[in-house]
Amino acid sequence: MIKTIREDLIFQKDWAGKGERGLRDQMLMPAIFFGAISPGLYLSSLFTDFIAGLWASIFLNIFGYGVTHLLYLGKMERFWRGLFNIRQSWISRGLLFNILFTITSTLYLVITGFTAVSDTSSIVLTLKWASILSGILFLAYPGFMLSFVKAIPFWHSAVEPALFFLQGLLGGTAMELLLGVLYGGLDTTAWNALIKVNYILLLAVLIIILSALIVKALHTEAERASVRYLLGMHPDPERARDGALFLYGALISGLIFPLCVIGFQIIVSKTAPVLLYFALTVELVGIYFAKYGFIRAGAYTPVSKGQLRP
Amino acid sequence: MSTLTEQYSVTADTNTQSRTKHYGMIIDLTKCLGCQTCTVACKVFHGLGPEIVRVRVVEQEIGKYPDVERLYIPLRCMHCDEPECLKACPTGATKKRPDGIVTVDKDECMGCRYCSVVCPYQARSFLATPKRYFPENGDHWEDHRYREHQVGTMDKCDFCKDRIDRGIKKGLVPGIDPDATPICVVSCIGKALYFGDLNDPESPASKALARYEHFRLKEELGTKPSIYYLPRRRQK
Repeated sequence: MIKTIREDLIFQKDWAGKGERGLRDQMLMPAIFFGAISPGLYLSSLFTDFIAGLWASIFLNIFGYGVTHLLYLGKMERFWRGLFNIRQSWISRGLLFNILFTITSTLYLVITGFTAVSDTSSIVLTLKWASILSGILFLAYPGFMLSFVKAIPFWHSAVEPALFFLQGLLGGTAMELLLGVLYGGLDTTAWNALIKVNYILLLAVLIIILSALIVKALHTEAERASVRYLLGMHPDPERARDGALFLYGALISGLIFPLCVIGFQIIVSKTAPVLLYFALTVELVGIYFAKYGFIRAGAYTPVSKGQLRP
Repeated sequence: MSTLTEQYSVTADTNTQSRTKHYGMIIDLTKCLGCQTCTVACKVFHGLGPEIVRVRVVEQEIGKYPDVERLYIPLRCMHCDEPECLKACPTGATKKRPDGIVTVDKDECMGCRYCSVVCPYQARSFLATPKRYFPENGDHWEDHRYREHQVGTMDKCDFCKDRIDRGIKKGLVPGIDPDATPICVVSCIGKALYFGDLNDPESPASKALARYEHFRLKEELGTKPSIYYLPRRRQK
């Protein structure tokens, strides 16, 4: 307590922190993770017409994102109030995008799967495009939510929306490839196309993260503190562990290792299947740690010393 | 004990009721001792548990040896004119009153904590559990104040709006009469805090602003705080 009220340069503790409520305070990270994977998987599965993936995305959206997010809220019974400030709040917009995505994607699947309505009918096409649009918005909103925060310069940039959007697509393609192995139904053409898309996304995400870290390290004191945090250089051992998770879990295991394995597969086509599946799995784990690291590393701009003694 | 009216030798302006008020606070860094009396007074008066800090005093060492000094900077909700928390709040629980005081309606808050994250001054706390400092030995006052807080909602400084509203009803002037003034201002042992209507040139806050050079924290963010600081070394 004494430390908290005296500190100046501090890292945000409200999101993804340990908190006083135990497991409920930890629920935000699964919500953010599945909130990216679910629409990513939906868009990817729609692209390859992979029905198991579409149903899995709905399941992940409702239970992975919806339930965990509700559990995280202090007053979950008031979640509907979250729609009251759509004009200004990214949380309100995110809730709206999620509701639209859930309704349109579920209706699209139910109508195409359980009724005799033609796939080319206007209602099906409307639902399909509405679900794609709401899925894209749902995928991107957490990035905008972070970039809105002027108080945390590490988040306040155009990188976050792009990064969160691409990470969602990356996770979606990786999840679809893994589901294709588990349930079948993914033909070779779709598999090869997805692997290539996944590789390009891996490369894009790696470039964005590395360039963001380099650029931010050269900016303000708070941004430098955030970068040092992600590189495991925070003096507090618990926070230094977060940095290790980002460095080894997100960057090396989650991006560089799958990039090597999938690149080898694309060029030589002789990668051991188990190694490929392992690479896809750690890719998903890496996305989780990358998001976790970015959120935990948010440092507030400290009070300006120049102002205090002119 | 003399009242603040006597200390500042200011008479209450009876015409202020018709003018738009804008309450603000002036913090004199020369007078702040870093004693945290404001922190404790606020906690006691509002019955705040261990998880909630509405007022805190950060410490900074500035300068290089041998020209080094330690500064104490009281931080709290800045009651910004352009509050980031107001824009971020998805439920509309965060409100800005016509007199400039930013409040949280605990009956509307859903506890997403976005307001706390976006606040550049880290002025908000989340009440996660009904923890109390002395649960077995709470007195009547503590029991009464604790009941006002809702677990799972956000908490922040509201300039003791209930004291202000009650005081105004009694014809008192906030910033001048102690019973209509935030408890941190009344309890400050260094007399480092001034409170009042910034639109009233006769208020202690306006007088301090007119007299000394001042600045606001993190003005570059465009939040337009209602709390001004008087720097350690005065220019005039």
